[in-house]
Amino acid sequence: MEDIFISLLNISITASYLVLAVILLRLIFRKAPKWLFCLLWTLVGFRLVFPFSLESALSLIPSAETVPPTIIYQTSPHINSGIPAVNNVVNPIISESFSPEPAASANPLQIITILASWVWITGLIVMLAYALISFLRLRHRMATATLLSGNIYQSEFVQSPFVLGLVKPKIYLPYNIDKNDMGHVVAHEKAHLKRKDHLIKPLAFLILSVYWFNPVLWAAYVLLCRDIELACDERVIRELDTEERKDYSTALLNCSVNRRMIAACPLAFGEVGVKERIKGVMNYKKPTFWIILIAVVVSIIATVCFMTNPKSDTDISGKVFIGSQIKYNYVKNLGISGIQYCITDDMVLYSFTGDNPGVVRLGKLEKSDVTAEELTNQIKGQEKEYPNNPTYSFKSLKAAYVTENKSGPEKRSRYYVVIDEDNAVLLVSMYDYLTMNEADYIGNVEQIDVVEDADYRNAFSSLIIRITKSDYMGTDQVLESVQTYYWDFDENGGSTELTDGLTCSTEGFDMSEGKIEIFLNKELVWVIAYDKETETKKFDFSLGETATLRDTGKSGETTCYTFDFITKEDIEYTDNLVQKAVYTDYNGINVYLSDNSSLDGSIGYAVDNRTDKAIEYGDEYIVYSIIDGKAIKCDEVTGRTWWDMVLYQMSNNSTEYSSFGTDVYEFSDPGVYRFEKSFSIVGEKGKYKMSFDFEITEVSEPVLPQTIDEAVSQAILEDNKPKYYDFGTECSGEGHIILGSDVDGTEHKVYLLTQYSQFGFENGYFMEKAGGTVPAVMTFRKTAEGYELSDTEYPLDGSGYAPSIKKMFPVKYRNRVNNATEEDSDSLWAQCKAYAQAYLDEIGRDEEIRTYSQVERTLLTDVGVSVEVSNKFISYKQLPYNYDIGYYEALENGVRYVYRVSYDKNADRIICTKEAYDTKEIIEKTEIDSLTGEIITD
Amino acid sequence: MQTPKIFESEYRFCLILWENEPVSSRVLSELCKERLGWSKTTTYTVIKRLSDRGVVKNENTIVTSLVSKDEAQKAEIDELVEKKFEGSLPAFIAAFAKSKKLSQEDIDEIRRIIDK
Repeated sequence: MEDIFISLLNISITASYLVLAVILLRLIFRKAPKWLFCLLWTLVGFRLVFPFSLESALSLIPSAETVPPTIIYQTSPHINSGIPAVNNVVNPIISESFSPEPAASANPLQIITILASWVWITGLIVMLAYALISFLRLRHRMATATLLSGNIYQSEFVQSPFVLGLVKPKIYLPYNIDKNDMGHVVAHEKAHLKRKDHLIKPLAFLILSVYWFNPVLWAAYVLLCRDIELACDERVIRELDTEERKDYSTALLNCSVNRRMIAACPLAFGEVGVKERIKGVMNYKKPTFWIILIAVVVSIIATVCFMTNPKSDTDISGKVFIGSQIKYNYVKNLGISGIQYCITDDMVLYSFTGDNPGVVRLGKLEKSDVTAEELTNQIKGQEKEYPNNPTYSFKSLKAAYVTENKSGPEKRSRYYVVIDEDNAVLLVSMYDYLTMNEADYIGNVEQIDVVEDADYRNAFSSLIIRITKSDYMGTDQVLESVQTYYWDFDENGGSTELTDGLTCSTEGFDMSEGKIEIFLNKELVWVIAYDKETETKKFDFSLGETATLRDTGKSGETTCYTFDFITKEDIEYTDNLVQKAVYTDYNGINVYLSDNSSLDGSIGYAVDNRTDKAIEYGDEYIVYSIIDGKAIKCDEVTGRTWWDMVLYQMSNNSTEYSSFGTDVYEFSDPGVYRFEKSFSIVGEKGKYKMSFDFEITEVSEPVLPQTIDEAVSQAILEDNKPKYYDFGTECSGEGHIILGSDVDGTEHKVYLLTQYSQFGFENGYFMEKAGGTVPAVMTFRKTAEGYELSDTEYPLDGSGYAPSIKKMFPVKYRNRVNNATEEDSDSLWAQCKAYAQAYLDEIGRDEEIRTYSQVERTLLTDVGVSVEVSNKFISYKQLPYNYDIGYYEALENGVRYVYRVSYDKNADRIICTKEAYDTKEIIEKTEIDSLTGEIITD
Repeated sequence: MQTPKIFESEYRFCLILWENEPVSSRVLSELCKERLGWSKTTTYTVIKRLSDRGVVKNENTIVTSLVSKDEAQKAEIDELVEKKFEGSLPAFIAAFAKSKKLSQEDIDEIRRIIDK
């Protein structure tokens, strides 16, 4: 709260300069239109509400931060008003009175600030309570006001007409108002509503409540209220002639009341400055163009000068820092770029990350008391440039963002670590999270160990810092606890913040070479390192211990750390730790290439889960290319996202289910590849990685379709085929309606309604066994060879559907997408059906083509089998039969079979037979007792 | 008996009541919403206030007036005469007649109201 108070104090001081400028402008440009003043007051409001402010060299504000938030910690407190005379008078007094006694536990200024903060918050509450209570009281009194017309009400409690209410503002008039006055009064109040004054005034009062301690802002509020009325009058009388203006003035006089209270509401007609207003009305002349122009220009200049904070560069000038450990610290935030300074007793850190990100300069100070000029010279002499590119070695990265502290006493602070050439480390904490305008030196870090991996630098650079005892804020305070920070840098020179709990490093490692991993959770830091030339090493240490990774390599030299795959048994820390392992068989989970993998550049793999637990797949998969025994991560693999297919595979016939999934990838080059995917087992801790190697021997060049229409057809079929279980399916068909397309160079974005259908023979029909209708957006790239699919987008399921349609489709298509017409669905089905018909013609069959719902079926329960038994029948996953009475056909290695289910009522048997299609010979037969549901074994 | 004080907004309410009485408070609140822009609560508060003052009576949610329109007007004029014309009725009528052209009939009517 003290921080908030101090920053509000600073904001209000900078805004006061603007207020004074506006008051001056008001005096100079009395003839200017009054709306301009209102606009200027709005700028004051902006200045007060938004803490961020642009910086400009033209700024006339002496100092953006008169009272530094660190004042409460400074050994010799001083303000920085930006006006030397003020500083010279005030600072010695402050220093004299408020310098902390070395023995005292708290600094006198700190206590005063805390007290002031409480006074401020109390005042704020009083102000708000006053506004709220007076608003509620007035509204209560106006409850009995009677409707005149529209939003105009009358009440005997009204002395002077006013507007009340925020959302539905109403105009209140007294009963005895003169008919002649009424028109003017209503016009005035309506002008208020049009100008939104009924919102502006309470808002201004709210802002005033926050800054109640600043008298300049009280003056601003009073003047704002006056200018609002003047501007409102101006708006009304602009269209009136002299006679009417006289009437208007009379109305003003008649309705004037002697109100001395400053209030948030209401907006009263005769409330403020009646005399001034009547003068204004009677003397009103349309402001000449030149006056308006000059006033506007001057206002803009004033805005630039007083809305912006001074350039921080100027801030450094004329400063001598004496006596405190922190001589000067300042971080200027310029959005994505920034300048950081930190000056301590013996060091200046100056880092610039602006136009040329990552260029870090720093210098050492030879003496402790310096002027800005000396400082600049020091830096100039010693600055060095370090290029920031992925090849930096960690040691040359001299300053880096570290971590953000979200809890604890230093909440809202950020830590920066800065390493100088001698590997001494400074930890710098950033204060104000929002404005980033203060930094403090915390202390030297006692020990630093740098782990560097030159070969895998993109993957891993890591640093663990231990702080044991440090001077804190220039007092004898010791950091409360030993802290360990861990972070790693990504290839862009940034870093990944490690949150509480677990995080691990690295990506793109070489599995054959091994790697290093560091895990961190609240209790411990855990390091696994494996050197392929030596043995597996594992280091674990508690928080606060130093990670002496040098053990596995030569101290101070670049060492390639590697690690071994750890089996589950090797891992002692099971809580929250990731396990990395290659499993082709883990307790019943098998990963294998699926049978339909071909050698034409695509592979499918399957995970067969035979445990009685569900497994959860993450979305991450990595494909490596194995070259000379090394695994190199493939950047671009045409793959389709993971999905689960519902083919249940039970273990011990339990009712829990597990899932079976496949994924298809296409490869452009022959070679040996490794596929890796992570998963976890529900109910078990840790994650597993499964991986397998496979070889692609041949990659055939796909023939690209020559028209968009063909390309769409091909894309729909290829997209959908792998998604559906295809046993008994003989033919796939698709239908699509192109709603429109956007062409951008070679890119064709096509908006579509699509349908996919799979057909098979069932109960005398060629039946649509599976399929779906879905809107889609496909993007094709036109090449010399034809149209190449580059992207397919489908809407999300469930509640995500409507938003994703909105995102995918331009408005003009949405209605058609959302409200499928019969015509469209008939067309889609007709197209799918054509594929089925072509197939029938090809194989010489003439069954009728029907959808699933068009085919009648006889359920087991229809013929008298109990519900329990029919449910049990369905649960026999090993039986590849339909669940109802009838048959379907399936082609197996080119031979056609019939899978039939029939019911023998007399024998109480459900009979399942697999017959050869041609000879009707029964190949397999399973009988089930229709009373018990048990499979009958001979 | 002295006729109780009725304020202007309350008078507007009474106008509706006189026109419609006896009337249920629910119907009355709907009428007030439509013609006075009052919320239901406001109407009920006013009914309560006026019944405390003996202007209206609310029995089993049926509201009736205890003061007639004539009585209310008379009380209002009495107050006006007392306050602004030092109790002088002729002065009042004279002033009244000055601002508006009154027929003898009108004047008689006013007298009748005031004399009551």
